[in-house]
Amino acid sequence: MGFRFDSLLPIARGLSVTLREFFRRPVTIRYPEQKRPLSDIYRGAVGMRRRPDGRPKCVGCGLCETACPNECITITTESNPAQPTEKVVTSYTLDVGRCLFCSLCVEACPVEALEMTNAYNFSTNDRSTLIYDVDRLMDLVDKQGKEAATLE
Amino acid sequence: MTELVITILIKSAIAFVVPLLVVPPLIWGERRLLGRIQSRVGPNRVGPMGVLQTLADAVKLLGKEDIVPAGADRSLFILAPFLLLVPSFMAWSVVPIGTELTILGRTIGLYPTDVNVGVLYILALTSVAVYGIVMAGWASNSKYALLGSLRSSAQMISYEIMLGLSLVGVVVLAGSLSLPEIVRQQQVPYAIPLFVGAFVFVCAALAETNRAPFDLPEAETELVSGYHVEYTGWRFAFFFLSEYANMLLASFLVSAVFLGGGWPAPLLEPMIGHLPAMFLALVFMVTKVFLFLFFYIWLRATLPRFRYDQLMNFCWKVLLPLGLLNVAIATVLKLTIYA
Repeated sequence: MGFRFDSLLPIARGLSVTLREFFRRPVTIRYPEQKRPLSDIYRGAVGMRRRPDGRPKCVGCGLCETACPNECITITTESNPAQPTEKVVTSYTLDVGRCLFCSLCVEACPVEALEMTNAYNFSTNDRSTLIYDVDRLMDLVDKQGKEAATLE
Repeated sequence: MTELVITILIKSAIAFVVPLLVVPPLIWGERRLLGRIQSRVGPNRVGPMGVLQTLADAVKLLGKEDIVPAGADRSLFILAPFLLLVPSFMAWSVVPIGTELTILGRTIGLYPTDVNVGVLYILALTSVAVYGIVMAGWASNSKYALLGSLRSSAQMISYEIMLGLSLVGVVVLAGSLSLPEIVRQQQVPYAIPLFVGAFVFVCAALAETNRAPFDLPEAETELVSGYHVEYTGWRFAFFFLSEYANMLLASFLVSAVFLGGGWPAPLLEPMIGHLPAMFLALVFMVTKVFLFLFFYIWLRATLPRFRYDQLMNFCWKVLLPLGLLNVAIATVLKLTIYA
């Protein structure tokens, strides 16, 4: 006979396995509502730190712009007549769409104005919104840790 | 006279609406259950906990283009889904949800009709469905569909015999082919004296409804989706609907025929009165149906698909002897205990 009745026993065992799994909690992380906790060394987008008075820490030296392999940082500066030794940063933009998160800019910065944040959600329908200005870059640093995982 | 007509209209409406209403949540429930068993969540976005998912899917299907493939046998291709869906709804006209209910001096049968050959009627209708599947596979002009329908015709024709054999035992004991009468006869559910028959029936019902582990006709991994690969839109929805309507029908049948319908509520009737007993009977019946549906889905989540030769061996070398044994047991019981 091609069928053995003792093979019903493994079927019963299989049924008990699936039943046990049924009463277990699903492992799914429901993403937009629940977020997975990030590693402490998670490397997301580059962010700009603030000075104590709230202005960006950048001094406009342009070293990060030079260090960036993808040329995603653009800095424009003008001179300050009152203090000829200092540059004034008029705009600092970073194209997150081109950034490769290599952190070379962070290492190049002489005043530690840049840092790697844990921001990772940049999705958008418009590429031009991926070019972050200095306020959004500072925002990334401000929000650091606040948007941390909701998953217990 | 008008009262009779109204009763008939209401009953037919119920017989038509019950499968239509129960099937969408059933599909949702199956997907949720499968999800939980596989450690995931299942559909949970449309409506509370995803209950409306099936509705959304149905709307999506209705919006799809209705494609008849080039080279398909047009008339057969169009006829096939109807041949499958219509019998699976027609079979509902004899399904007993309960027995008689006496309310306000009137006696209402909780079944659409009491055909005195109900069992035969259901067996006949389930065999018509095979033609739908064969036609669908043949008319599609696709090798996958054809293979699916070939497998299906062999499988369904073989397992139909086992379905019949397992019911013969019940018919012998009850002395009637009418489904409400079979339910009424069960002082003890027939699954206890005829547990062999019940086993054969459950296996055969799984195979008849093309459910896992007997889902060879639509084995996704081998045949894409079997006999209905080439169908789109609402025609595909017809196949889907009829499959689940059949699954529901099988659950109702097994509950009525082998698990005694509302048993043991009728036994309590002298103690708690007619109406509460009838209400309890309905509750028991529905609970049994849902437990059986759960079992169906649970089996699907557990067992891998049979190989074709295993399927045929199981049918002819295991179920057939068991089915005959079931008839023998029933005959002996009828001559002794049930005499």
